[in-house]
Amino acid sequence: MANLIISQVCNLACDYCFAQDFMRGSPADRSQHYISKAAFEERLDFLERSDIREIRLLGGEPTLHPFFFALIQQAQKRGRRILVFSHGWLDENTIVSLESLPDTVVRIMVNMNAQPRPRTVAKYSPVRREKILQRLGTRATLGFNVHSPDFDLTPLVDLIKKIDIRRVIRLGLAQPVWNGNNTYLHPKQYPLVGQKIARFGRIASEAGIKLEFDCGFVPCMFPKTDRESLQQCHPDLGWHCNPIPDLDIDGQAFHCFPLSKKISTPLLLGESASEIRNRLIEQAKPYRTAGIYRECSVCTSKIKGDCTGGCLSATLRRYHQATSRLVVPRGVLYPKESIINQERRIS
Amino acid sequence: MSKSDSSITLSCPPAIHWVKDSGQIVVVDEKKPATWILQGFEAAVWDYLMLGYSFPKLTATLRTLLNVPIQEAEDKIAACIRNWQAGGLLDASEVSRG
Repeated sequence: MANLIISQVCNLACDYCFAQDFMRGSPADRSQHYISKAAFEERLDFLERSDIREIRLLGGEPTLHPFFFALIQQAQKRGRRILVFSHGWLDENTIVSLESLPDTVVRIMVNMNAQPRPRTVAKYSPVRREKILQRLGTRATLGFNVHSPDFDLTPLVDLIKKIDIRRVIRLGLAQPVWNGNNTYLHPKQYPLVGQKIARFGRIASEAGIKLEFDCGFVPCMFPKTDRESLQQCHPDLGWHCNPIPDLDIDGQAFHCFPLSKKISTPLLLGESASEIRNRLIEQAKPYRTAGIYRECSVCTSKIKGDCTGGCLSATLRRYHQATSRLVVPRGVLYPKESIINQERRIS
Repeated sequence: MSKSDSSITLSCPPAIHWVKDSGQIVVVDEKKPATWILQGFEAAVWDYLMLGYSFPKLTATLRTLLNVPIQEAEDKIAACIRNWQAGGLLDASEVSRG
């Protein structure tokens, strides 16, 4: 897998946004915030030679690209399914154009807790949200980013029951941007969140809704019995933090949004996704011994490879730069040299 | 001034980062890149070093912890430091005693 970034612009302002850093780094000229058609064609070639079946479009908000639908059509010609990661507050033109394509061609992952600012603006009402989702129908999958232990997922079940959309909810954990200041879920809060998700997992399962986890979940955030029942109800759940390379509009590939300023590599001519992925894995390797908790580096789940120790960006927050200084008498540090010098002086 | 009268100032290059885990300390050299796992005595020396202990205080503390003569504590710490210097975890600069 690989994600193609087509826009560095977003019209919402989520406190937990992992792409803040990435978007801050964009050039001032707005025309340079979007991928060009030519560069997009190159990315499609890249996916094709990497034998990647799904075209995953990211932003910013990808639907804000001035030629969004033209890009969709360009991608459609490659005969692969398209997945768009969006906040879901789509304008009429975008909805109409997406309605013209079946769910076998295009799917929209709608981030249900994307945060407009100011939050009270009427156009972001639940009624409008529902209408948009209704029109997207089975093209839409609901996503939710947990950024605090205070969250309620039951309205998503009610929504899926009410309208005909995919019976899947994709959950993400808000992760810290490396050297950034976004709101994120601290690993100390994971057990509390784990309990709530486990409870919700049973509710979702009873409603015939499947849960999917984005990266960064760890098994130990769930009580053992809950973990087993969760995996029985939702067998595809995984505990991973492995790079699905994100390719930005300038042809730079990075590990993930939170680490876009830390672990990245240029996309070289003729390269495939696995070559890029291997380079990103290699860059991340020195930090992988540790995990989000002190216990991770000696945990059997991590050592066996069942768990990667949580989000690497959260792990990096634990690292300190070594800044201490120590003054040691030379004779103590190099005693043999000191003896030789003394012997020389005597002779 | 003879070399034996001087002191060595040791400091970590900017690429060195570390994290304290359960029972071990993980040290990463971002430049190489390489990972070191420090356990037992080495982990204790690193920990006190990062807390800013002076050499006499470091020696006295580890001597007490290990219940060994001061000379043995000094030798063990010096061996640790030489090892880290060789591995690039510490850089040395020489200063005169003044």
